[in-house]
Amino acid sequence: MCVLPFLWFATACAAPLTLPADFVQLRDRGEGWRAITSDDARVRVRDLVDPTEGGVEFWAMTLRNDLVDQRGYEEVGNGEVKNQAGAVGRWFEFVANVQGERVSYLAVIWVVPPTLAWLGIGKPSLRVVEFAAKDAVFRARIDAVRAALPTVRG
Amino acid sequence: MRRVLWCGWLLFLVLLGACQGPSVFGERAAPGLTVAADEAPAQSDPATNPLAGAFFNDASDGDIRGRSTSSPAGADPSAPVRRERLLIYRGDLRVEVARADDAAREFLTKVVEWGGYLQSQQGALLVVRLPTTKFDAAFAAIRAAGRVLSESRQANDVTEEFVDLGLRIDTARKSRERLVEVLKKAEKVEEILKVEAELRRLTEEIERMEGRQRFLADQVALATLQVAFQAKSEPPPVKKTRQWNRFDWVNQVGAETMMGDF
Repeated sequence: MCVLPFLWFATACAAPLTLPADFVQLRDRGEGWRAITSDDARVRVRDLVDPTEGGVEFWAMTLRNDLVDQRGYEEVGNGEVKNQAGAVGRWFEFVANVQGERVSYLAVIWVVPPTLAWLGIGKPSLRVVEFAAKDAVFRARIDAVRAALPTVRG
Repeated sequence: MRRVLWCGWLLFLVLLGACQGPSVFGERAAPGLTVAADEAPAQSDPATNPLAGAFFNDASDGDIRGRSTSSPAGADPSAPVRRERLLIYRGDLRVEVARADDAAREFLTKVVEWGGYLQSQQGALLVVRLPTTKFDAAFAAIRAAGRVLSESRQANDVTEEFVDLGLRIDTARKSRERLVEVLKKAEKVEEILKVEAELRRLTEEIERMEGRQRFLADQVALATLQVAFQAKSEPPPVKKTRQWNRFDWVNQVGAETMMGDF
């Protein structure tokens, strides 16, 4: 029993996905797990509260509609991807105008069951992986990031 | 009295003959038509014209026969002949997309899935050949990829040329067969040389026409589509007014937050 807290701590500190070595993890500021490359490609993984317990399709389309209809992003593609636990998530790829610059953006969403689901405690959360960079950098790195998505912890 | 009886018999026989006449002629006429109909399929016989069956369906195969013979007995000559057209499709599209290279690659993947292939590529300008049955699907896929800047399509009817080539090939083959017979019987060297020269000419002519027919068949089976994917030079427009999302987490994610203070 004494080992359990250490195991929990070790798991919580481990990277939530396995990225190529040139991504360097940034210091935790309480904004999720962050990593960056020397050419300013950025990855962030966050667990966000799911207030209404919607399914992955609902949340994916909510995010997609907000980005396209409200913020003017252009959708480039979308699809499904499984995480390490085999849960199916949805990904969307966009091109956006950020302060007059052309930026590409990848958002991936999974619905993660609560840690103590077997006790009937807690609510499901959303695991959101974001990857953004200037268009040319994004295109050079997107394949590596995509390859890392199945390593995202469930 | 005997003369009267003799005349009566003669009259009876004449009347009998007259009554049976039409059916006798009918029986004669029927084989004649059958022969005509049976001879005609030789035009589309795979042995003599291997391409004919491949590009006309059963109904149109009959149309070829119809074209090579007179109208079948009992058919209404004023009725329109149902004919499968042989059309060569060509299309040209210019479309603006977020990423030209990606869009070109994705489109090419679809073309290969449809059984087509890439004929040439220069950057994001593709010329592809794809089954004619997928021509409309290809246009729909390209339209869905971005904003269409220009679009054109053509259908060139080559039915007449294709059928005429088939008939000319048949005629040339028959001439060649006759020349071979003549060659077998020829005795003088001068005659043999002349016949052989004519045989060579005919063979070359047949090969040229068969080549043209194969080319047409290929063009009909596979449509040609030229697609220019053009990337947008400027970033997408920014929405001037943005409504805050009722789900707070949605407001926390996005390219703006990622590219801001990270």
